[in-house]
Amino acid sequence: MALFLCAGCAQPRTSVLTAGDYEHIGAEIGGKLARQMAEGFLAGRSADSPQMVIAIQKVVNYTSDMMSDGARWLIMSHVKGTLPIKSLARERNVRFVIPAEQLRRAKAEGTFEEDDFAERAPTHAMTATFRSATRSSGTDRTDLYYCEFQLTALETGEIVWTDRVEFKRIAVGESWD
Amino acid sequence: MPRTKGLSVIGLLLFAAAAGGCAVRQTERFVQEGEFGKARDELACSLEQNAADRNYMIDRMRLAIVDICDGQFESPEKNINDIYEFLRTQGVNDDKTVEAVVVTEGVRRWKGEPFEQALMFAYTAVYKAMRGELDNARAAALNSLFLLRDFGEVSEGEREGQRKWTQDIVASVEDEKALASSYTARNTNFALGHLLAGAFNSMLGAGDADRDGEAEEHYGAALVLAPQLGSVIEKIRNRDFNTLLVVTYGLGPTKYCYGEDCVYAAFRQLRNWESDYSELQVQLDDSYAQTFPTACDVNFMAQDHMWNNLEDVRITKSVLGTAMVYSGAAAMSSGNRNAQIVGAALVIAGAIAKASARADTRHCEIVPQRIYVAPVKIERPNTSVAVQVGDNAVSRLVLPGLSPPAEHEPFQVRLVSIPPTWAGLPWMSSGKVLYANDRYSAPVEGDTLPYILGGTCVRRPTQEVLEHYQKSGYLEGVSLGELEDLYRGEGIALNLDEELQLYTKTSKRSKKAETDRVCGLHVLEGGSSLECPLPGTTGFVRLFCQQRPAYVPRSAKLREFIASGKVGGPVQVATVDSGQ
Repeated sequence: MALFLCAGCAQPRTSVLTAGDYEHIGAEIGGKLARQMAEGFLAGRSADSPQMVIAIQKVVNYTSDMMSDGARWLIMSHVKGTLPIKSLARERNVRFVIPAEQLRRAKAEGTFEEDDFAERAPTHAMTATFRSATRSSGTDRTDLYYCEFQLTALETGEIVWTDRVEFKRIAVGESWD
Repeated sequence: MPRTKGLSVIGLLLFAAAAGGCAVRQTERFVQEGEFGKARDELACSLEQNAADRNYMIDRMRLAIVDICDGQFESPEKNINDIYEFLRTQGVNDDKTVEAVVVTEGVRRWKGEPFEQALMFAYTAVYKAMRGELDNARAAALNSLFLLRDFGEVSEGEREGQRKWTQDIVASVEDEKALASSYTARNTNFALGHLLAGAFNSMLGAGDADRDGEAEEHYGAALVLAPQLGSVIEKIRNRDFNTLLVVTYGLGPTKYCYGEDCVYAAFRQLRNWESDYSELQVQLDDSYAQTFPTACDVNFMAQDHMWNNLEDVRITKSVLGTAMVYSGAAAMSSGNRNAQIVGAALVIAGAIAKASARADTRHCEIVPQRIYVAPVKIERPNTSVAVQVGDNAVSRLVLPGLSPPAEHEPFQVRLVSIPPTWAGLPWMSSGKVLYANDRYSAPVEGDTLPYILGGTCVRRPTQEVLEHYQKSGYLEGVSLGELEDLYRGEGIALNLDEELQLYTKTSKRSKKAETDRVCGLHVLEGGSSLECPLPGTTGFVRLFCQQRPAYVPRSAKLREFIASGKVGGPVQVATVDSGQ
């Protein structure tokens, strides 16, 4: 568990997740997933293994703060961005796809990637659920964030892989001021 | 500064202050008359742009509330998200205390009284739920449940046992430092917040033990605070509903100042909007009316010191000012000339300090007096839902066109704002949709032509809509592109991007917009928007259930099109000469 408190800086006034947090989460989880290539469910796969098509879902938010749709997809995009997508496809026959609704939006915005819509018959789903526990005294507030990611086989419901990132955010000052 | 220039500046400041006050009263009048569109227009066109100005946030809160009350779906989102971010920021004024002591209360950034902040979180929660974002709705509701400062009750005298007023608190502490340590941080008594948090948890996860467990915690808290909500909670807990109506009514309390130098601020009930125990009646089509108790009485909330800001800094300043006046007067009466000069300066400074110590009574005038929560089950498409407060027939509001939730969404939420009028507004009880729109599927008389061409259709032009016109013999041979061009030629926005471009204007407090384009008014009201409020909201009824004047073409292009005969039938639009 990492404690994020900017020592030597002005006291933090909000415990809401920031863009920097999204990057951190994406990098952590992406790294953990990438390590599965060496030791884990991806280690035994090769280019000839049955195709694994992973449909990425947006983050489910059970924290005590609002999260926009854009932020939820951004986090998953960061996860995907840290993975060696091309070598996974070439060497392990693993592809990532996004849901049709997100594909339409990405096309409209011109932000889609080639692999996003290739062979859209998913075999697995990557989901993320964010939770938080809040402690408040009126003059400060602490939010403990718990971000869990899972890879689930769609046919059997088996959880193939799961991991998490935890960290704390502190806000100083009266909440009613 | 030369005297004349200084007087001019003072005059301008006084005028600006008066103009700002006039704008607020205008908005309040529009809200009372149920003219939420005009209220939105007034607010949106005069938003304070300077983020350091005390009115920056208050303007945006007013706009957010009116937007939500008017059933707006897309346009309020950014404003509401910005307000949420600001309210979630803690200690906003921690480092401004010294400035406020030396200069004026106005340097503090206004975040609202605690009760206004809690209500704003609740409004945000309901708005997010209306958009189908139940998880965000839950989060916003949770944030309305912040801790409060409790200074307890009066311990002796006539008012022994009653909740302390601001002056009781000031009298019981020696200085500002003691004030900071003489309260108890206690759990909120905002029952509505607990009820909404519980409801959104229940709606989020049928069968999810975590959601159900969290919901039960909030139901338990709500029941302790407001036992009368038992039957409401039972329905929600059992998921014996598919539509949650959050109904607001009345005008909330007004803020006033009292005491020496008018330094204390407090809230009192508005005349004609006193609290009572009237229940909300809800009738679906011709069924028997169900009744629901009040979930939140804002009058009671605002009158408890826990829900007030307390204004301790102003009190300090007032004491300082009085001391300066007395010291200066004493010095002036001495025989020493230098002491007299210093004394005069002290008297003047003290007088200025006392004048600036007056409590700032600006507040969000359009919060409701009370809020109800009514879980109901809509079983047929285009159901008519009638709501009424107690026996007050003037409050009756009929909401036509409310269908069950979409298949993939087991629940839907609506905020219904009953206009706080005593005059009775015919459209409130009309119950009939007169204009075809994007959120109403049933046919409407005259919907075979767009409103801009004399019909009753205000749906956004699409291929499907055009084919509907053409099947009835109108606009044959006209392409979708041509039709869209006609709208754009009238300055009417066809999507959110175009809407935002029209919406972003230079705000001017003291003069009208340079063109006669308005901010956010629907085409039916003479504006440029086709944004459709959600069915089951006051905005939907206000807009589509009352007869509107014939459309007045704005562009030569449309007039030429009408004259060309391409419409394919008689066109009834107004002309400028008709005075419309």
